Amino acid sequence: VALASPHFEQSDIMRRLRAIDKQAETNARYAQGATIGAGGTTIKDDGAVVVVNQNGTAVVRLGRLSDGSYGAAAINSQGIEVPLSKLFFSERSVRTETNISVTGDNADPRIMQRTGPTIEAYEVGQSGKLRVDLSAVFTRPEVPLTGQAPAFYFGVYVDGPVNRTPLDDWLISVQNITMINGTSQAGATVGTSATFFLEDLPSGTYSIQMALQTGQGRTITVTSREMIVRTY
Amino acid sequence: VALSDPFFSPGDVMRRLSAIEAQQRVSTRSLSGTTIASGGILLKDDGTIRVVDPQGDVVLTIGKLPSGDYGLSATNSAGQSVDLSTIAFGEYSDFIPDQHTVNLSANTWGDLPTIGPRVQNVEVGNTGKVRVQWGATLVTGAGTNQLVRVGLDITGPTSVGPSTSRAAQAGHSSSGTTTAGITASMSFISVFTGLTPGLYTFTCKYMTAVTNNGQVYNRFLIVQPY
Repeated sequence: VALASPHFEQSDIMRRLRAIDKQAETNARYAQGATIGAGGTTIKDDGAVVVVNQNGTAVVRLGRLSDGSYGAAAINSQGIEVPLSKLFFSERSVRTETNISVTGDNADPRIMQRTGPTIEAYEVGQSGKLRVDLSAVFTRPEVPLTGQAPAFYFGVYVDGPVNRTPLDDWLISVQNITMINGTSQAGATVGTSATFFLEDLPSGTYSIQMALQTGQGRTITVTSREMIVRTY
Repeated sequence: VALSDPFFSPGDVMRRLSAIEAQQRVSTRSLSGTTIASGGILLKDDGTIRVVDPQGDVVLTIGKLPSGDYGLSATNSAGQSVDLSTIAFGEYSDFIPDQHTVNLSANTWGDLPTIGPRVQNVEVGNTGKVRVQWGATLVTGAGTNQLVRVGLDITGPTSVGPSTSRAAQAGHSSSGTTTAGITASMSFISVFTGLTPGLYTFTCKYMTAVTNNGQVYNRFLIVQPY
């Protein structure tokens, strides 16, 4: 018999109404042991599902995130959200096989030349972290022992809300490969990679540029360069 | 006045009942302001939770995914989806510590007696992207124009052969004849794009500048589709 049947006693109806009131109130705010079947559920209009730990601290959020994007984010103990989309899609890479010659132009080889390649308009979030992978193939000719080492230096410039230069330790070098009878340094070919982690970058848009250098007055040839950038 | 107030007329009661019944039907389709407590929510029978952005595009799915698998996936602005399981568990690697001589003709890519390192059945999804890192400790022979390279060969729906411009390598050249050999640990990291989705095999290949002259050990290969 339907709840609205006129054959119910009024007291019965009142009792059932009170039960429905209570159940409706509970259902509206509690989904314990619920099941979502075909058709599913949609989170929209700034709605969110938040997972809280035993201390009541949010650790995962689904829906609209604090940076204004939508998706899912893990939240660390400092309350910093890292959107999963950063882990999945933030990586950008650039590669060139155009040969370039680099001649050392500074007595301090750590002052590196902005040869590129470059990744422009790269967004770093509130985590402030950036990972940069560099790979390159270099060659150099045989040279006398006198003068600066025809070493390979490569690193990265980061320009944006703050600037980082290779002088801040963001460089890798491959120095003397071998000597010939104590009179000259052999020509060399090297293909290798390096990984840099940068932290504490203010959130914002950055330009990331590969940089190269060799000893002053020396010349190296770079046959391929690749840079991979990720934030997380 | 409370819904259950006995002074309501039967007609009022019926009208309010209808309102409550309608509200119940809405409540079962809206979870606004809901708390999920112990016991949680179970997704089954292909049920999903989706996050949509203001444009109405689905950017995140939990449950049955666009790939047909189950779990969590994110979708980018190009409509490409990546499963969380690919990021969390999709990295493949292989390592061969033994030292081997590279017995190959000069300037020709080939295999060592122990082929690899190699990873097989790597599933590349609809992004068509994979990041690969590989390398080894390279030992060149003494003399002029010595060079050892480790390149990468990709076979699958799209094939990419090894390349000297995409290789970990170390070598030396000179006008003299007594140049010492060198030992150097070298690696390379590269992103390959435009791969047709499917299953792939990644294998390290080797080249020397002088026939049968060079050694490698501690060879490694790490492959991450994403």
